Amino acid sequence: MTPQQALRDINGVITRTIAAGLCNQQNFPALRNTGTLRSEIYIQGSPDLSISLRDIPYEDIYTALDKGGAFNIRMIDGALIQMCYTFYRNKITSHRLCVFPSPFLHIFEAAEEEYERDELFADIVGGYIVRVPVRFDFSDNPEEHVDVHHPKSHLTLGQYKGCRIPVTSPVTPTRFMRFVIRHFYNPALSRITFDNEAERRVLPETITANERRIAFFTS
Amino acid sequence: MANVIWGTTTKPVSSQRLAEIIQASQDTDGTLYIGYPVLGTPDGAFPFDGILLSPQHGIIIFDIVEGRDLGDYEGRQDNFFSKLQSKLIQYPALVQRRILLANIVVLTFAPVAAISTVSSSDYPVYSDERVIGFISSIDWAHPEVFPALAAAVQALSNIKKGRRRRDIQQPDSRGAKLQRLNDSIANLDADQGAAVIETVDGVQRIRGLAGSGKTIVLALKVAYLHAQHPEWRIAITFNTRSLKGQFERLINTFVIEQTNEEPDWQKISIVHSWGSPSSPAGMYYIYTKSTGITYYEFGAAKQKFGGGQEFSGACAEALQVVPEPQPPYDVILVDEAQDLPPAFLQLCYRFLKPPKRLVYAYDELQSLTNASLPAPEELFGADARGRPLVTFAPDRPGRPRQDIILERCYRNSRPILATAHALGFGIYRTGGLIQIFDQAQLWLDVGYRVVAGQLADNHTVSLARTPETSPEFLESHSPIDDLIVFRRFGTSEEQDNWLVSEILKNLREDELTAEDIIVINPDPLKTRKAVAYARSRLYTEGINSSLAGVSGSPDIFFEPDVITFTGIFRAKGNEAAMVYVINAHDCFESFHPTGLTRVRNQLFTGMTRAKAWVRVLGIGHQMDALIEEYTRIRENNYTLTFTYPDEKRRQELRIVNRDMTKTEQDRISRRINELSNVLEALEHGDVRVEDLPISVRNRLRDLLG
Repeated sequence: MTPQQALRDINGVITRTIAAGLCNQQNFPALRNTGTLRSEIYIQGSPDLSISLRDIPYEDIYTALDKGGAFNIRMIDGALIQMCYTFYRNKITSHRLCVFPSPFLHIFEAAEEEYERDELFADIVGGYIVRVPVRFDFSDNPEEHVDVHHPKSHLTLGQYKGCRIPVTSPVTPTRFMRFVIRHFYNPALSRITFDNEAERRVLPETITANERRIAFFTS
Repeated sequence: MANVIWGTTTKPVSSQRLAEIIQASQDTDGTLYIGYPVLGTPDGAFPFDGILLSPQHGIIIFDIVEGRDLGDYEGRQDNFFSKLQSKLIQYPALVQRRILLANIVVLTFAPVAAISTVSSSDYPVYSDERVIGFISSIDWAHPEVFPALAAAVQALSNIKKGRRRRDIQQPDSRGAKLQRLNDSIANLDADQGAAVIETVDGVQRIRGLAGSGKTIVLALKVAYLHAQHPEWRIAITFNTRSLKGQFERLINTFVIEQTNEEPDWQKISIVHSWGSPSSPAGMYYIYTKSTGITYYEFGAAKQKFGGGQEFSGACAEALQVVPEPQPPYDVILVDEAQDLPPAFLQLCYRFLKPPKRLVYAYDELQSLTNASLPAPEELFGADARGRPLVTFAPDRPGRPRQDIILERCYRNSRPILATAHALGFGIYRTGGLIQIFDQAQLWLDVGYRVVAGQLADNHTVSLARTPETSPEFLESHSPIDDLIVFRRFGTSEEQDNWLVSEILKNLREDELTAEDIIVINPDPLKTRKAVAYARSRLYTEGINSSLAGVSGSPDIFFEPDVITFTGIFRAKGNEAAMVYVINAHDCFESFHPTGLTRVRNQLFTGMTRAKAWVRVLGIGHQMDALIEEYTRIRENNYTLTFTYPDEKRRQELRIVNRDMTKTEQDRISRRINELSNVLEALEHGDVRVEDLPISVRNRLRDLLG
């Protein structure tokens, strides 16, 4: 996948999410050179993304990301979506695809009607809410890859440092977004359609034979 | 004739005497402020005993003496003078070649002191009417800077700062016009001044049309009270979350102007009415925590008290608690009181220390059905013996006013406001008036004047706004047909495409910025879907937009470089230079008469968000009909001419258009459907009229009358 293809893919995903009425606010992705034959897709405004890795309460992480504009999409229920890629010689060298649910609001499933009707007080929420951030990471750097323990493409649930569920290959923006909508916005699944070609595009596999022996995801 | 505004004073008797003398003088114009302004100095807040802001003579400072002893009056006069001068000289508009253009004169007023031997021309002292002669003799070479002088004294010079300066290339672009509109100097008018400065040891009501400056007035009031009474605990609360950011910014600016320091945020609380454990605290939440009673979040409240009654049910239950809580606040100010249930106002009343200083402000005619809120006797209930807890005494001279009306609208131009009212009430509607209120006087209160006929039952009357109540500068920047545009489309795609192309034009040619534009969809239930297409198209054009909603920072309505799309509820309290109301055809009619009130109200609210230009867009024949109704308004030159309905007709209108909950509406819908089915059966002959028993036929006849 070339940088231009990835950029088009991300923009297409954002446009369709807006058109489906699921995106309240968004920030444009942008492409820049970072060295000889190297480039990256980042979030316009260059917000600081590292805060999500710090050891502070999730509410603070979410608030900092939100206020800092560190997202491509803010979903209808407050979840923040980030999509960043790096490239070398027009091939993906790493990616970071994240969902940060809002710790302050009900998830879309639980309060679909309130969100749709734009209930003014939908944010008056008392219950103790538990939210799990979800991250698809990829790096083709051989120094980072440890067979089974640190697969090249992996899925992390929550902020567990040790959680690296192997994924068969790097994930495209469309397939990532499809995953997010299907599993976290299921009531709205039929409402949004993605570009067929983009959806079918799967990147070359990076998973090893050993990694296939434990539970893994097909991207 | 001067008017007098009463702030906090420690010299009531002498001040009263001064006010009487000033008001008795026919030739003395301007405003006499007692206990105002409070200036920020290096030593902190510095209150003045009194000043006269005079368009002819400049500013006259009064050093007021309550008793017999003049004391070091020369020193005091020096002090007043230098404090004010050092403040005013900071405003470039008041200075020319390092010389202050504002005229500052100081005198001592001491009605009961013995002064016969002391008066000199350098340090004048007066005790009676001769002070007028002195004032009249003051010469001022630069009366043209009076607006800038007033703005500086009223701490309003800085509120427009902090917004980005626009990059204006063409002198006549929309951006340039808007810049000029924003730059027009803000002065408080007499009613606003009174609302800011006069505070009652009891309940005070401030009402006015949307756009009459209530938010700024309340913020100034908080700043003034905080400067005068730094030990008081002050709270300001409201319904629309996005007001929080506005209030924080304004109060911060005004307190710094008046005390030269940041506010003591331990003493000032800016809180939403409801609140929750995770969001910043709200008044109701704080109340439940202090009494230890159950706090209801939205979902739980809906379950227990029913849809539409969530907040009022929660507050009503909180009020049942005994014993009453320990009240923490000295003053509570409530904005948007028309959107808050009476139970909430009663809750605030309980939460105040004696003498229960509650200031509640609301938009008059917001609901368009009646005076927006019941009278205070009804609103606050009665004590154990049935006596109302709160009544308003008639105004007395020398006493702060309990009931203040702001009749000037500073946001909407006359054509926009009159159109919004005409459509809201259905003045020129083919089917007749939709709603009207009992107190005809309200029209005058909110700034309409009778230009023909009589404002009385069964009489024809023509009402219009005047340049006094709707400043001309709001409409003179553009031709009327550019101020208001109604447009009809065949399909929603056509509408959205036109909207997008207009927005692109606004940004790329008209020199407007994204924050100058709001797009409003009147029906809150359909907004999300209705705006999706336009927003996605804007995204592909590289224009960022957001859908105002609960997921965003609820306390912020505008983000830089982002066009705000919103449903009608979240638009309340906000304004923008260019407003697009889309799908307005939904507002023309409604299947249920009760719905008609609501949709016309939505159209009213949408249109009155516009500071400069409004575009009302819609689809199909409903939109044609709406445009027809607007054309009649325009042909009448934005004057409202109609026959005032009598009591009987007003009753009818009230019943037909009464507010209903969703359950009631559904129930009525079902019954009407059932009845329609019966009628169909009769018409088709499935059931013959003769088949109906005589008793049934009689009952029908009686009911239909």
